[in-house]
Amino acid sequence: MGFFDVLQSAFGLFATWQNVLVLGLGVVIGTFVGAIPGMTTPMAVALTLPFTFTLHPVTGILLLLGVYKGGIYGGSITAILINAPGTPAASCTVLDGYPLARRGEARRALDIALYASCVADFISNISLILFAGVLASFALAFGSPEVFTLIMFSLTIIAGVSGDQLLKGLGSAGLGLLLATVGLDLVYGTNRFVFGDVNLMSGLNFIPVLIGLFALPEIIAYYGRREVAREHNPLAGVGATFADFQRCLKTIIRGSFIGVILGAIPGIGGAPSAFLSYSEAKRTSKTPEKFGTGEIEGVAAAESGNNGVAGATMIPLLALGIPGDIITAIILGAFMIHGLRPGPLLFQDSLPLIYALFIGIMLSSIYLLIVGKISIRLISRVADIPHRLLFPVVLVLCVFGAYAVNNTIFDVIVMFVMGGVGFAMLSLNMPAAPFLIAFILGPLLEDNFRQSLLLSRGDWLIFFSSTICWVFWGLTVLVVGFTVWSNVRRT
Amino acid sequence: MNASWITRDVIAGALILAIGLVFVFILIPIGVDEPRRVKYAALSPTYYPRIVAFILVVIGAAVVVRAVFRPTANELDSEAHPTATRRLLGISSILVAFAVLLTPLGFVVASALALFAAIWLAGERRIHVNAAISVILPVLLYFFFLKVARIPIPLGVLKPVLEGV
Repeated sequence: MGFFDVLQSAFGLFATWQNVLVLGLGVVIGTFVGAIPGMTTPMAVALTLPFTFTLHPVTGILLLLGVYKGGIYGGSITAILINAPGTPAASCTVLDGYPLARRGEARRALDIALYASCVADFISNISLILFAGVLASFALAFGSPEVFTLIMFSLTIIAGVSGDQLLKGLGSAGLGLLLATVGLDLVYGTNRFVFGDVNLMSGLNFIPVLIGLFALPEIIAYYGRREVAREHNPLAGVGATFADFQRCLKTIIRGSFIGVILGAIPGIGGAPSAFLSYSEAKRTSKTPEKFGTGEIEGVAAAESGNNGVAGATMIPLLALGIPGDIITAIILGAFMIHGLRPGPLLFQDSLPLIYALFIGIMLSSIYLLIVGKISIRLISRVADIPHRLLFPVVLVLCVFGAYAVNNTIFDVIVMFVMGGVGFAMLSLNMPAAPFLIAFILGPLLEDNFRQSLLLSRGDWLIFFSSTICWVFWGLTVLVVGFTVWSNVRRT
Repeated sequence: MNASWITRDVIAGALILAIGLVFVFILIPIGVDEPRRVKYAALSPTYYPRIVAFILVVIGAAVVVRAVFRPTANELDSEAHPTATRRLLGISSILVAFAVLLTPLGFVVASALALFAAIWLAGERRIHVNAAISVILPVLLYFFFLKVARIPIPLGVLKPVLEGV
């Protein structure tokens, strides 16, 4: 079958009203679920899965893809408005999105987040179509030592998000790394810091820690502040201008490619990509000190980084049958329910089906733009609520959200405790972002560190055994050196 | 305050240092089950936490030393509420009570009570507005999670009333 025959039958497969409708519906569901703190994108995709059983494979998978893409954007809405990211991938958006909202520029932040998301999504989808084969073979070269050095490099962004509190930022990161070790040790299967509590065995769940650390301290701190008469609705401000978009375009494109590359490596996911894109944007910025205080480029960097992943995670899934994260694992499940097995064989046997999916995926970027624009308007009414009502309401949302992640009260307690920790850190002027980054990246760091040593039988040279490792070590040394040098020069 | 060298930085550093020490000497020896035979030291489950805890000790000490020798002015919080301490104590008590009552009373009742108290403390004095929000929101959330997300939120004392609706 020639290329155009394939394309023709792919269009035949795709061009039904169900497909077009379902993809849009998926984006709507994803956006709204992602916007509720505590409801995660994987949860949304998992809840949608049962509805796809009776649908045509293409329709079913497009529905899930729509939820996936919408969810990633939806997570950034609450991140910007109430400092509580709806999804882990949106936690980086908080850093500049929330300060912008507090300045009354939430609309601008949401707009840029949306544009960055759509551009990154589009670039990611194109890359999926163009580079599926090439990137998949590059990803195959990533073993444990390579991932370890990659994570080491990603951790250098802690310096970036600590601002002028570098030492306290490092301390905060150390606490995050330690908290991440709670639970079963993956190499020997022994308990660490469990103290006989069954709930602690699987480690602390990310969402309650995140809500506790970011949303609760904000609520508590509100009670300590003088009620400022709000001159403006945070969303009454103007949206992003074309000049804003132009200024951020370089950052957005860089973030998209970071997302594409990291997304193509199984097991990395959106959060590290968002943080890496953010630190790159900060490092190359002419005004790096503005990052973290409400810099529109910071939002663009975070959002392009995490959305750039969305298409690329499909690369190893389709080309090799390896799911890159929880969501693609669920989508893999959807393929298998319909008797399809992603991998090289699928490219041989069902090429029209893959192309039909590609067409649908391209359309999802456009849906994202439309649904996003509309949802920003709907949400602007919510922002009219006065703070004395909004903060207590958010408190209850946090409690329900923390419970819903795993259906356990334990998670709610974790959230409350982390809220206390977060408020203490806020009072001591200790940045919380490094804690969170370390908490997410910690397990990846440790697992790959120990797996590498297991592979090499204890030989540390394995961390220098490939070009990829050397490249990441070089970058890490460069960044650390630069940070130290600029710190010394400042004082 | 007399002891003017006790700044936020000194407290933060001392806390980091203390947490690091507690991990090195108490929590890691007690809290980590060490397998009987470990092939290489680096593979032991205590290896990595110990490195991190040592780093914490060093960082904590550095923060304290720097803060003592190069103190930064303790900036006054200009945004502070006139009765900030009382309000902060109030919200802390509400949060603790919320966490404690969650299991016996169930999410809906505990949330309604916490919501009412928190809104009152925030300064909303219109009882009807407060009561309406406090009752309607938790009930709506309950049904949202049950019907849309299919997650049954524990009802506690309301079980006989709302179950089966």
